[in-house]
Amino acid sequence: MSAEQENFEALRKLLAVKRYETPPPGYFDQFAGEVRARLRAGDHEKEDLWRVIGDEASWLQRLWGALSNRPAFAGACGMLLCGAVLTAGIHYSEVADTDVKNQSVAEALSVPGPAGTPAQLALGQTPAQNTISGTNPVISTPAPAGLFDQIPGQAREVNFSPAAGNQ
Amino acid sequence: MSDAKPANVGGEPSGDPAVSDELELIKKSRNGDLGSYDDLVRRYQQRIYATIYHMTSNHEDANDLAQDTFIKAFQALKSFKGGSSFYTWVYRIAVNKTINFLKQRKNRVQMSLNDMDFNAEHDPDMVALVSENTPRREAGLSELQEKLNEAMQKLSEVHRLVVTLHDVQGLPHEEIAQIMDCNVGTVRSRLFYARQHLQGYLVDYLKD
Repeated sequence: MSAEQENFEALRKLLAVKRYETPPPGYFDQFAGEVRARLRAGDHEKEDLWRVIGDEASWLQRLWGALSNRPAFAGACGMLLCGAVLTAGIHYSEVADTDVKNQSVAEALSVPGPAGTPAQLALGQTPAQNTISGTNPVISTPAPAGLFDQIPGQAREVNFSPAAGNQ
Repeated sequence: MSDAKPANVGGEPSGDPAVSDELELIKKSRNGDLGSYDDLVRRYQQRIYATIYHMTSNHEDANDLAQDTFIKAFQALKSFKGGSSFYTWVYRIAVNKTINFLKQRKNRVQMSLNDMDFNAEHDPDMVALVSENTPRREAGLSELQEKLNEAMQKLSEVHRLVVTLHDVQGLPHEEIAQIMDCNVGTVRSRLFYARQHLQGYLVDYLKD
């Protein structure tokens, strides 16, 4: 690099003009006070939040810059995003419906455990092994002998005699 | 402009009273002493403001960014380990903030030259220099200043920064390398490139 060989002296002198650009008189007398006022007002806490959002997520700034400079691209991205959200919504709603249906089928197919039903226990029956074998969803359970066989307890004969006073 | 010497918190102990005074201010500021931080701000406010102003060519933006720089520096003071001088550290914050701002602004170049107090016209040497270097004698200082700023704005952020720090503010290459987090060779090559472009933009204002 021949930086030293180049004669930039005239340019440097011209650039020195910029040293004379100063803010309005009294500006620096107030500057530190304004910084302190903002610090007292808690601006540094907001600054902290923006630091996290802005500085530590610089990819977000770059993305935002890229989008703001290209409106057509930003619009296309927005449409893509909307489409993705819509598709995801439809997909998840279908999945949710399927889950509900599966849950209903599962409830319908649910079988008691080895302990048996309270009715079986009361009648002293051994609970049937209602396990599903194979892929056949039909469960074979022994049919009760009669409708009232399932009712727990014993029937007793009852005598009824009207009171003597009624005669 | 302040003559305060920059302090290096983590560096070797210095006998310089200005430096040890600065170390004390930094320690107090770390503990939340806003009065001490006020003193630190006063030491560097002019240089920080000037750097940002020459980068943005806008007084309002420079004011906001300079304030934001010192607020961020205060908030991050506890994380300042002293790997570099406090002065370089604050400068780095200012430079990063300004470059981020300029990237976002891109298509919104505004100049508020009327806000500035352009006191070069009271300096006879500067008036003579402008008369010498400007082919059109009627070109006033404000016109020259406007052209300079236009030319500066045509440079990329890093090239504008290196010209600002070296040719306007007079910082040595080594210090600029620290601020820009690059090596001295990169600073020199950027400076060369930036000056070449500026010469091209300002050819009418430079003496043959």
